[in-house]
Amino acid sequence: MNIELNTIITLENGEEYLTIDKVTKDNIDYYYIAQLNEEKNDIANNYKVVIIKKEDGKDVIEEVLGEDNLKEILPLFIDKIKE
Amino acid sequence: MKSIDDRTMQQRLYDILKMNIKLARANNELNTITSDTFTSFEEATRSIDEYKQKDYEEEVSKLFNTTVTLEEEKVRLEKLVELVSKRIEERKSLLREYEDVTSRSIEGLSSILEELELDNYKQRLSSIREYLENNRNISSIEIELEHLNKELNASQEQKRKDEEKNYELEDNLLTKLRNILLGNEEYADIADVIDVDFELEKLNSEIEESKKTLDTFEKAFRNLTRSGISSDREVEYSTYVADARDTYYQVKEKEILLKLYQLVTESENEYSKLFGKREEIDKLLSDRMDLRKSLNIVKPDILVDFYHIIDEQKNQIRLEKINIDRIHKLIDKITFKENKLDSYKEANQKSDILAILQEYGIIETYVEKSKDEGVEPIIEETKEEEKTPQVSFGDLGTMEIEEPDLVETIKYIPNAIKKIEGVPEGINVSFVKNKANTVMRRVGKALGIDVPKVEIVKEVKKAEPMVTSVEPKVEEISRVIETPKTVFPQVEEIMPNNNVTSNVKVEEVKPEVITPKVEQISQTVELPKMESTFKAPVVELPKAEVFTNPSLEVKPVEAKVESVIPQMETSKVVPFPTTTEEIPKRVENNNSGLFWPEAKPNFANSSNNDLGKNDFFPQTPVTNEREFNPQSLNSSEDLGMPEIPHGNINLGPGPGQIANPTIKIRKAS
Repeated sequence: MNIELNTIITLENGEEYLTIDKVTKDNIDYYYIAQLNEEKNDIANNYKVVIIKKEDGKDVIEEVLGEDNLKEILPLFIDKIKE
Repeated sequence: MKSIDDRTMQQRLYDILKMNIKLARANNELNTITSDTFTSFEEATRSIDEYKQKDYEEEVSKLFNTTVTLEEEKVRLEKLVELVSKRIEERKSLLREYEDVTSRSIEGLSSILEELELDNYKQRLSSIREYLENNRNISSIEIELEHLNKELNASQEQKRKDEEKNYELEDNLLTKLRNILLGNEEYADIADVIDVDFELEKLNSEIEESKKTLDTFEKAFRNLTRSGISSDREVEYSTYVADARDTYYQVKEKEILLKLYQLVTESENEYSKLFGKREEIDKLLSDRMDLRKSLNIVKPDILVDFYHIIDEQKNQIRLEKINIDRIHKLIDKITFKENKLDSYKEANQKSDILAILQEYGIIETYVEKSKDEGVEPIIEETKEEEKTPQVSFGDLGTMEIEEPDLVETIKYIPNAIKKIEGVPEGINVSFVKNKANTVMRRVGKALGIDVPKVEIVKEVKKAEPMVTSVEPKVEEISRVIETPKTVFPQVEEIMPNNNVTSNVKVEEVKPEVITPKVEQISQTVELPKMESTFKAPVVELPKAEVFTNPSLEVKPVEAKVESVIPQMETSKVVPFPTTTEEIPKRVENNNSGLFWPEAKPNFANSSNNDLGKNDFFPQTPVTNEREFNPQSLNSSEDLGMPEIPHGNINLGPGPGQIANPTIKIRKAS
């Protein structure tokens, strides 16, 4: 599933995230997302790097965790910021 | 006469015949023993065994009842194993004795059926014992973990508060330094410096020049005094030397103040960074003290208050270490306990145990993998109530579902995407992205990833206050530094220590373009408007206090704090200037740095067209760095990006792995 940047993803648990950026590595799309605050006029202090997976026919976000994994993915985002 | 039952009679007969045969054997008179005696002894033996077997069977039959719980089954098996073992031993003992007495073996005794199953009973009992023991340990560890997690949460909450407090400390420090600078005509312009590195570079030649001059004066003076001059001349010339020293000190003082200002303007809230920064400041102040001593500077020290606040804050910052150490210890302890917990849970996954659990309805089914795979079976489904919430879609009522079964198949997945839509009005995407990217940079930096430093550009002129940020372009950086994009430097454990700065291995090299022109910046950088409701900070007025800084080993300086520092009767909240015209006026009237915001503004809903208004900040307020809370590492708000790696905390599964939805610190895989 491809998600456009600068869109709001609403999850089944009601949380809403703004897609900040996206990078691709090994044919996997990684999204940098930030949660919206309750007023929906800014982002809350909750940022995630996620991938989208299929689960029971649904598109599910799965957070990328672990120092090693982040060390692989974050430089790609940071390189994009540099640009 | 009391009648004797057959059992007793048989036992007596057995005893007497046994003795009879044994004695005959001992006296080598076995030939005197008739075959009838042997036959009687055999019959008595068989009879005794039959009685014992009957007793045993009666007892054992009572133990073949159905038990409901594993605890009951454990008790049953314990008795059963004991009973069967005892009966087997009895039988063996009887046969052994018979053989000893007669040198013959006896056969055809009724078999002890349970003997064949004894090993199974023992194995089953062992599995149940292990399971129950594991469960006891699991419960105990879970209780311990609950307490430890509570403690950890409390400590992390304290850390969060400390970090908030650190911002206040940083603000106070900055305010103090700005007040000092603005209160000294000589150095007031430092508070307006845009690019400190550039200023320092410019100052270098001046420092060299004044040093040369001072050396020349001192040398000439020494020569003159050696060759002998009048005392009047000597006094006169010594004043020349003193003036040269003052001149040199002034430029050196400017250099130190610039460096201090540069350090102080970089606000840190995380303990180790803050501590490292304070160490750098200490070093700078210590060098300055040495300089004053070596040059015999007697004029009042303008940084007395600054020394004082640094010293005062250092004690507060040190207290944070206790809490941080506690967090590390708690995390280690929790990790250890969780590992133990996992090992007990894993032990309960043995096929023997699972089979018993299934038998007792504790689990419904389990999948036993083939033995070739050598993998322990895993529970397929448990009988516990499903932890995932049941389907409760609000819109199910409106859905047309022909087959009711279909509803049951729709699983609620909390992190499943429900919908994707455009950004609602009211969100300033540009600002939000800047904020998020700043967090990305910070986390990247914390992970040791090479992150380009953001150039901070402040106002150029008082009359034209302008704040913006300049991100060095890749091309510009690449001319100066080589940054391999895919090199992941090893993350060193950044523990608070006295050597924080020495751990920094990456040299930060400024891009060639050091002072971009304001016009250029305004064309390229989008900076949202600041909200006019922003509150200016409460300013702590400088106090004249006796300088004490034991950490620097400086003797109290007899310094008089001149009243050049702006004085106010009480601290008060000064409204933030709403127009650029107001700012220079206020600067003239109030040089206490009152326009420095305590909290950075919320730029949401603001327009980029307002760049240049309300932007008197010497630092670029494009991000709300205070909101970034690395402490939330193990919380649901965790970016998954570690603050500082401690111990062997595994931060979770990687891409393609399922992140555990529970908040948990897992053992290293």
